[in-house]
Amino acid sequence: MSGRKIQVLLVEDNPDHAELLRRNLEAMPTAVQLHQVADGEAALDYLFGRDHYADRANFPLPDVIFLDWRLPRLDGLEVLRQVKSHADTAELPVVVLTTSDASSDLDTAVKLRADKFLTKPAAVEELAKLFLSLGFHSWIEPALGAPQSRISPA
Amino acid sequence: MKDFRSGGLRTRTTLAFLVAAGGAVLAAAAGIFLYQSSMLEARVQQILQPYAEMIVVSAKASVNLDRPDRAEAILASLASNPQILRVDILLPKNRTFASFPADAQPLPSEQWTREDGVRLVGPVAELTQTFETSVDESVKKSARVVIRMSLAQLQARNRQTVLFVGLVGFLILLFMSLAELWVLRRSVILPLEQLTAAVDKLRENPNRRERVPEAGGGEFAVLGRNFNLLLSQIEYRETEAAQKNSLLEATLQATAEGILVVSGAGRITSYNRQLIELWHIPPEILERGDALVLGEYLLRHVLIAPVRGAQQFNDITKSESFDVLEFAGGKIIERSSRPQLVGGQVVGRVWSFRDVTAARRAEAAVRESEYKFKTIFDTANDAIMIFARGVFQDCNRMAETMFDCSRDKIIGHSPLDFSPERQADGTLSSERAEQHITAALAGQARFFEWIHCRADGTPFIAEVGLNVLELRGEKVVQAIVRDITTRKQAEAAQREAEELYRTLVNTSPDGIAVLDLDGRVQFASPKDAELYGLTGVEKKLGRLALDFVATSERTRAAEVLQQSMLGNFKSGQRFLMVRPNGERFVAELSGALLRDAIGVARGLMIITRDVTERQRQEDEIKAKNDELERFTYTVSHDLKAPLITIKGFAGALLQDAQAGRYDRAPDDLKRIIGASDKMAQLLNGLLELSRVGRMVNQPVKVCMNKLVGDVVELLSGSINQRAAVVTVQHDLPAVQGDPQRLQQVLQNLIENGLKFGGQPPTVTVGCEVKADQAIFYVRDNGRGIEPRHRETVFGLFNKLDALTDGTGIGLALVRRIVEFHGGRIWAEGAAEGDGAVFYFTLPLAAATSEVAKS
Repeated sequence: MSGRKIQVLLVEDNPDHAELLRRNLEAMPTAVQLHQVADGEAALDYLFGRDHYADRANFPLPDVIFLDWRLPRLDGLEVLRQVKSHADTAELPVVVLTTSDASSDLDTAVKLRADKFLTKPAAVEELAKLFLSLGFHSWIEPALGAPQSRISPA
Repeated sequence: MKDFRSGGLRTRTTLAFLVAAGGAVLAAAAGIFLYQSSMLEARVQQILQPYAEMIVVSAKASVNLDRPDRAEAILASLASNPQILRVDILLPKNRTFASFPADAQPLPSEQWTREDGVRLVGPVAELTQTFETSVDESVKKSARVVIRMSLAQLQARNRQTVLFVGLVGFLILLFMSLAELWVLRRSVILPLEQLTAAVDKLRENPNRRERVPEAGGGEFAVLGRNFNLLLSQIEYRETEAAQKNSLLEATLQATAEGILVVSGAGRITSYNRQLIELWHIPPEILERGDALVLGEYLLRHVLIAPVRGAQQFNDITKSESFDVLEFAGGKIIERSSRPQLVGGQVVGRVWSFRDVTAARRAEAAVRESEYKFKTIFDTANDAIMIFARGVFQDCNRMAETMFDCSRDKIIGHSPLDFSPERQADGTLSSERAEQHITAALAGQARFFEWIHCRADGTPFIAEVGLNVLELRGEKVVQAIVRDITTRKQAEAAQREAEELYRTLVNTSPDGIAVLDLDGRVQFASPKDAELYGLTGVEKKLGRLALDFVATSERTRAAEVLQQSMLGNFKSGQRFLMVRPNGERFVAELSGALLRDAIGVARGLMIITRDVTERQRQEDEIKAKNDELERFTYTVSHDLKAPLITIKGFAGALLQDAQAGRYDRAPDDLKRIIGASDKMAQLLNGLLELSRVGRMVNQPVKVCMNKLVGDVVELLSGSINQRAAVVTVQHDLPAVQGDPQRLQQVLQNLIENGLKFGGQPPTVTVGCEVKADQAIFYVRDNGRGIEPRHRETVFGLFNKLDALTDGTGIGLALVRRIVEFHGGRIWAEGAAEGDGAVFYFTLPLAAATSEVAKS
């Protein structure tokens, strides 16, 4: 694999939660570049390259989107709907971040073709499994053997 | 010959007679002539023999003496007979001894050798006679005498005789012929001629009564009589034939059947008008006279078999035929035919066509009605009994069942044997029965209820119909008895049920109405009329049910009604109804299609329940439920957020600590503390919110200017910090409400104005009064709220800006408080620049005091 990093767009309004995820992503045995937006409208602006997000060099189209379900201005549900109904972004894997396993949320998300779910706060190995299941093997596998001791929390 | 043959009978007879007579005369003359000729030789001998005898005697001596002179003298004496031509005496060796005349030529030498006798040579006859002379015995001399005589005289005399005889014979014959002819004419020809003339006349005029004379006797009288007899017979026959002919013609025309006569060669020889009318046969077809063409024409009209084709018309078989032809249009024709025979030979065929359409139909109808009667009698569910002379004469099987006994126990018994002594009204059965039967026999059909008894005496109530019938010349009464026990019970049960249902309908708290298939009200219960705001049931009758449905619901209601008429009523549907006075109410409808006895839809029963209050409650409950659900959801979600932060950073701290790393610890701990504070904030907000729902303070008159002043005072720190300007209208109206809560409203709105206003923020508080409502507003100079967010801002935990401080509870709380006061709150303001405006309405103090009490 080249030196290219996995581009992750994190849509999260809670700065603490964003920080937690950022830390765990950094702990991953692979290079991840994190882009963060704080609300639904910003997320769509980013994805569709609107306004100052048009600069794709700084704001590249992500390889995966981490999407919080409850967001200001435009909630996760609407963001997901628009992402999945737009040809440019429909194929992007979307990981929905939830605070609970509330089934109604999951059902709605599944209907809107969400790819994965992640219950906050997510542990590093959960993230690793997630990336594997999303098909990012080549980024992760070479490093999989070693990180056990480094990553696993109690 | 031709003339002869073609001549009349008279000419022919005359001629025939003449020819016959002539022939006879000629034959007689010829006979006589032949006779005379055959007798000539004998005659000549008769004449000449004496002469020869005489010469022989005389000449013997001369010969003996040899004295020819003497002999000649003797011969000369013969000269006296002029017929004798010559006489010679010859000696042997043809020596002439003497001859006469003396100068005669010697006779031919063969004369001596000829035999004695007469010989005729042409017109001369010759007699030769030999004789012997002897002088003595010893000397004998032979000599012969030859006399020749002329036959002329003899023949002339013969001819005369023949002529005479012929003449006389002819005359006789002529006379006889004439005589016979006359007789013939009188007795044969005349009658024949008369006969012929009569026949001729008859021939010329066959109708004339002509008779031949038949007077006199003989065969012709017989013939005449027979002929006249024959004529009479012919006349009789002709008359008879004419009569028969006219009869035949009249029959042919008078018969109702179509008649067609066809010769063996297939020619139409006769037909009648009815034949034409049967099929409207075009005249040209009949005029052509070809039976095959007619057959084809008929064939085209034949719809149903037997179709044996047009060829049948020239059928020459001797058999009779009969078949039935069915034609298009239902016409049924019976066709029969019979050969026309002359001398045992088929010369044609007579076809007869009878239109039996009506007859067949009538027959079928009769059969059907007989069949029906029989069927009814046999299978009727009623007992059918024939009554005459005081007793039952016949009954059907049902009677046996009904009276519970066999036929023979019924027949011959009186109706009274099957009745109790008295009827239901106490009258004697015998008297009543007598009345009914008498009336029935008088021709009045009777129909009444009657108590009968079965064979074992069990009474049952029956409906009896009596009719008089004529059966084999006798007036009988036909009784039709129906056991109506069950019906009576059913009627009673029905009456009860009706009463039950009437009570039910009249006392039901729901309105009950019946619509006809056009959707018009046919029946309405009192409660129904009341529900629909009508002062009487009759005001609802005949009106369209749809007229009571609110306009907005009519399309749906019409569809439901239409489906209901098809039997697909979906009960429990709710509609908004309008009363004539404009009031609205929510009706829950249930209903069912009403069908008549045979299952045909007759109408629709609609049960209306006023569920306005229930609907309101349900709406409220639903709203509350929805709110609660949203609340639970958001609470569970948002309350978890700080917990996640706490858990996440606590985990991070632990990890760092295990790794001996502490550089991030202060920051992580700050985050944990912040999350805990946030959590406390949220819980407080929720507590506030929950309190609004169970406010206990009585609403009071609140001076809004004072309240706003208090709030500004309270927020003065924040105002000063931001260098904000808060402007308040001086004459804010007083309202009715809970001052503590209203203060929360103003505080939240002004705080929001400060938080999201411009730099520096400007907040304006004002009011407009419309009707009995005060519309307050709080305006800022911030960036405003985009229209799509103007509703969501009031949602619990909803924040437009992720990074601003706040719980997202404030506006939710404000809304709850305003609504609790019976007011409304909404946001306005352009998206950019003009700032946001929050409006909320509150009841004015003066006007609302009563409302608040109620």
